[in-house]
Amino acid sequence: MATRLRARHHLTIASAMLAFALVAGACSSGGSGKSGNGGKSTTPSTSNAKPKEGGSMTFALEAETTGGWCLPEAQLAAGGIQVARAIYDTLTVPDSKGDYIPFLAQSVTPSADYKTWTIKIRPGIKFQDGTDLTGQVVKDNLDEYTGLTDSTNLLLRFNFDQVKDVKLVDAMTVAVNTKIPWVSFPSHLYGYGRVGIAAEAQLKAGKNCFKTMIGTGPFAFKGDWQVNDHLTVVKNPNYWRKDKFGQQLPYLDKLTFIPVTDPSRLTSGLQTKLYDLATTDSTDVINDLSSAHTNGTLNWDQDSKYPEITYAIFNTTKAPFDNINARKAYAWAVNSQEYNQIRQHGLQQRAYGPFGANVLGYVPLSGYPAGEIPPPTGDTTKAKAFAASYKQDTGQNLSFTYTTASDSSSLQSAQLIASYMKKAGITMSIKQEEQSANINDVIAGSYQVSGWRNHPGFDPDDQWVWWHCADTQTPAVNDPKLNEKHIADPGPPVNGNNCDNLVNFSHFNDSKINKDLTTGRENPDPAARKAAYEDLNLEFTKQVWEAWGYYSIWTIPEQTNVNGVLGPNLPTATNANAVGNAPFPGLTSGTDVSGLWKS
Amino acid sequence: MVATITNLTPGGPPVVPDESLTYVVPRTKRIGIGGWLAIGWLVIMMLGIIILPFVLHNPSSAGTLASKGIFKVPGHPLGGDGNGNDMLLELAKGGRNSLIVAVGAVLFGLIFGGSLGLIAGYFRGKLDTGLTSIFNVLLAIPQFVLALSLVSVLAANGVNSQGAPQPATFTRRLVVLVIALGIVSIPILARITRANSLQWSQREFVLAARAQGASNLRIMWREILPNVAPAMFSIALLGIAVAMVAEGGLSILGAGVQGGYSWGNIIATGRGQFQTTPHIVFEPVVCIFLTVLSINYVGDIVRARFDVRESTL
Amino acid sequence: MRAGLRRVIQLVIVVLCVSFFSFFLLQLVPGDPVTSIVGFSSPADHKAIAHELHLDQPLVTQYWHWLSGFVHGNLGQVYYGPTGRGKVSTLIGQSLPVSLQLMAYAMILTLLIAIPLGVFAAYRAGTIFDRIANATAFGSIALPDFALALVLSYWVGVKLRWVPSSGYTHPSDDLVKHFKTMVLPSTSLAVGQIAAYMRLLRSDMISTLQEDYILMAKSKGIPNRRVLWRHALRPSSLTTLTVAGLNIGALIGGAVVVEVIFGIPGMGQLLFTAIFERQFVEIQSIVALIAIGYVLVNFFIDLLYAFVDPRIRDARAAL
Repeated sequence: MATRLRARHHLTIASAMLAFALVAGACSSGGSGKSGNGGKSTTPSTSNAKPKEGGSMTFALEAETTGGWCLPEAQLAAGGIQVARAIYDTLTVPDSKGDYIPFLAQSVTPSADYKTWTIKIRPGIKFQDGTDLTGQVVKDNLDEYTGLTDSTNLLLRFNFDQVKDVKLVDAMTVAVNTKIPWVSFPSHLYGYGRVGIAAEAQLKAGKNCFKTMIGTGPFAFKGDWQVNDHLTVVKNPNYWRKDKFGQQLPYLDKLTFIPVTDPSRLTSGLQTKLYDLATTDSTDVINDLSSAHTNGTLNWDQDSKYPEITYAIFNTTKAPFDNINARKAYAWAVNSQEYNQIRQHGLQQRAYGPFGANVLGYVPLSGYPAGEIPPPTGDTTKAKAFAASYKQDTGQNLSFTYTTASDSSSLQSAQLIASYMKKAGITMSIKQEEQSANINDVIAGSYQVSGWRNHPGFDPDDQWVWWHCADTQTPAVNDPKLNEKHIADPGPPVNGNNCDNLVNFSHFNDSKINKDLTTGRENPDPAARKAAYEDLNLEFTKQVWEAWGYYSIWTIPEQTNVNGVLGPNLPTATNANAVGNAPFPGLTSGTDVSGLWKS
Repeated sequence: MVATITNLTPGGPPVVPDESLTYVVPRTKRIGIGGWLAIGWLVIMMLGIIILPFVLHNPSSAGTLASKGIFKVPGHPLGGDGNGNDMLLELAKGGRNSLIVAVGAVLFGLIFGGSLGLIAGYFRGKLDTGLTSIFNVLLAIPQFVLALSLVSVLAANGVNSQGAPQPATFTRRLVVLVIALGIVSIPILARITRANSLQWSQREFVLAARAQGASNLRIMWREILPNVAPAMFSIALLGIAVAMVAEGGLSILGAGVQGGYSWGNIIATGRGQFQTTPHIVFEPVVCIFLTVLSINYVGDIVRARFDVRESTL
Repeated sequence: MRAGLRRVIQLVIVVLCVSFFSFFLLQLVPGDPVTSIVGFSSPADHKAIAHELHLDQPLVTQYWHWLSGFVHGNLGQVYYGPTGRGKVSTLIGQSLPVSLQLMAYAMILTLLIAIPLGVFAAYRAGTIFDRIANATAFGSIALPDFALALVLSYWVGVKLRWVPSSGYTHPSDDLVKHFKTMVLPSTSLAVGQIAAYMRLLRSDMISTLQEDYILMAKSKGIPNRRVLWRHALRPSSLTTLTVAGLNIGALIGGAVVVEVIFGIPGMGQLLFTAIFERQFVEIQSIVALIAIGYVLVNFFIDLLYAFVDPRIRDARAAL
């Protein structure tokens, strides 16, 4: 009975967490500029031309968010986050360097021990329904997100599970108390751009919460949402931000989001100017559009420095991938260079760890011990040797089932991987299922290996929830003495299935990783954090917990008359106008649409 | 309503009763150049499906043929698919499943539709009225929508004991497809069989057999069926073409034989890289077109030979 | 009159049978229908949904609930997880007009081309023109409309870039863009129909042109064109009408695939999405609606036919 309950627990909670995790079409997604200019905007969107007001745009997204935008429980992929960012604002945002600065908040300050974060709300901001943004509303939102008021709302609770309580200090100030020193807490207030602050009316809308979107954002939702067809938002005339010229934001009168799941339809729609701009990570689309980009008929913004990672996720609690030799055999069998050519038009960069080039914890190739990482072309001989070691360990021939989503691109990718395995004498069968079923299977642990995409490039502490694992023997984190001892003497890694963390889908329990994650979360010294995450990166490589694939590269193709894609500069603590730092260049959580204008 | 052969192609034009083929298919019993071309294609296709999978091999390195077009790589005239498999080999493997589905569906329709039609036409009366109205109800749903809804429901994923959805296996999907398209072809085949049985069951030799005390089953089997068979088979031939097209349409909608090859599936898979590698989509399209064209042409000749009037339906 | 009554009764029976078939689709789903639709749900949610769908009642009661809901415009719900809901009727209300537009354009295109072509081919029967038209028509019938759709979207949409190879714009947003997005889908649907109508009209016209009254009209010195269009076309168009019902069935089926290929948000796209998202309740309603629509269209074509041609009416009454 206990197991049954537990399984169900898994499913409810974790299916909600899909907010971030997505089955990668076996790495069908991603793409960096052939020119290697990843990360640099190729559009002159930061020019000094005075923006023109008015007009409307059509924005194509990779998928519909059928579940709607009741943010505390919504399942939002990239497209969903993009819509959320049009309607809602977050308390903090990352700036051009990836540092978190106050946004809806005026200031976010820690106590000396980093166990209390005081959030002062920026005054004079109104929701789209005319109500004021107050400390009480922010507290109610945070209570929802942390699951403190509603125990059935399990979505983001994991992210916030070390929040003790949220207190209202005065009318415009909220204090968040945490169970541990939480140095990087402001990044969680952004939460990949999806921790938007909703009006009281939406939070209280109950079953209609998912379609009663009311935020403080640049565009307001007026009910014009036809599922799988379009969602239109209109200018919020009372938006709290102005541009650097003092002109009211946003510039556009109307913005229509259109879900376009079919890559060829997206390409064609952009070529024929049906869509003004789009977000995509499909290498097929990027490849098809590259000639238009080269000859200047289409612009794009692209980022490869703050990427997500596409990879093969292993179930380390089940044979064969509970055995490190099996994982190594897999990793060495794949000819990643050829795979990239065949499946991704040679557009993607090979990932050797979970962090992109500009993300904290990134380790350049030279940082890895020789022979520890699979070479780009793979190594069939070595893969065979690992498979032989596996046979020695277990007496079994290495064979497994690869689970993949049912779209044609994913299937083709899986078939190619199967051909590499075959060359190394490994038997791989393919289980094809609808994406939602695929995700559910991974969550439930009923898989051996699956294509996957996750870990957007923000502060690595955001990844705690996916990797941290404390089995029953591990001392509770809030017992400092035991904790110190534990940190001082990390035992050997375990393939732990009695992990307290239900969304560590690989179910590894690596004390080194646990320790590094704790250091990264609690240590205010940036150098120590960097060292911890680099150590974690190397530990992943050593244990081959996952077979890293590629850095996915989000691209925003746009017509040549579309400007201001990355958004205006950020506000400062004292000035709500766009006079602060430049916006974050990463595209995994969409862009700030308030700066869009048509010339 | 003047019934005609309906059609379960996704919107494919219905085959209309028609004497107008005079200038396409001569209404003589000669086969003609066109006929030989049609038969030629069908024979070549069949041979290809049987022989090519044993003869052709994919190149050892996937990179050499991936997404390469027609005549780009020596030894692989039709180029390669997205993963570097030889397209000719893919088409041969795909044709096999497409043909299995199409022929299987029509056989299913022939067995069930044929016997029901025979019974209705032979016994007449209330039984006939009842069966005919069942056929009419089945015909009252647009054929492609009927097939699509049947496949989508029957081939839906099952659920395992923990509540996790389990995908339907390849074989199961194949069987479901055969049954769904078969059900769709039942009323059409039943109606032609019934119409012909109606005529033949009044003939002298049938009456004679009855007078001699032959059982109904024996009369239907020995006296009527052999006479009705040519009409059934000529319509069944058209049915194969129609089912083949329907399989293609269903595959494009993701309701075909997933996880295995078929012409429709190759189209569906190739659509993702349509802009850069159109040959992956167009090669199976041409195969379907030529096969359907040939079958239609041969079907017309067969009907001319046996003097089957579709308007008797 | 009695014949009329009989046909109405027949119509009602067929509609009932078709609706029962659509209703029964949910019963055919392997495994537990609730889990199939919403995925995982708590036991309480599961029970609530089963109750909502009347799955806890006998089959006949279920059907009755479903049917009365259907008649009252309650086409069921789409399920976004255990708690999220949307109305199927809203979705259909948005998609149906789009499909009707598409089919109307295809029909208009068909008639505009098929009628002159058929008439002319009949008038010039046996000439090169006739032979080419006939052979083309024969070929077009073997060309599945998804094949044509793919070819057109590649050559016109991708290569020439005259119009978008897929996507849809509402006419109220931008009429020019709307027609641009509809050109290829309607053409893909129309070509097969043109071939069918043209061949039928041609063969019928050829026999009509042999009739005495035509020869008479000709001998009176009435111009050929007038004879062709005024005297010969009208009776021949009756035959065309008889197959219109069946052709509409083919048109509906074709629209499903063509809408998906071109990304047109009509009923076909809706059905496709419903199948993909395992919204079986939505599938039931869409199939029922399409089937009933099709039955009704055929019924009215029959009525129209009898109305236009009294001989048929009498002959049918005798049947």
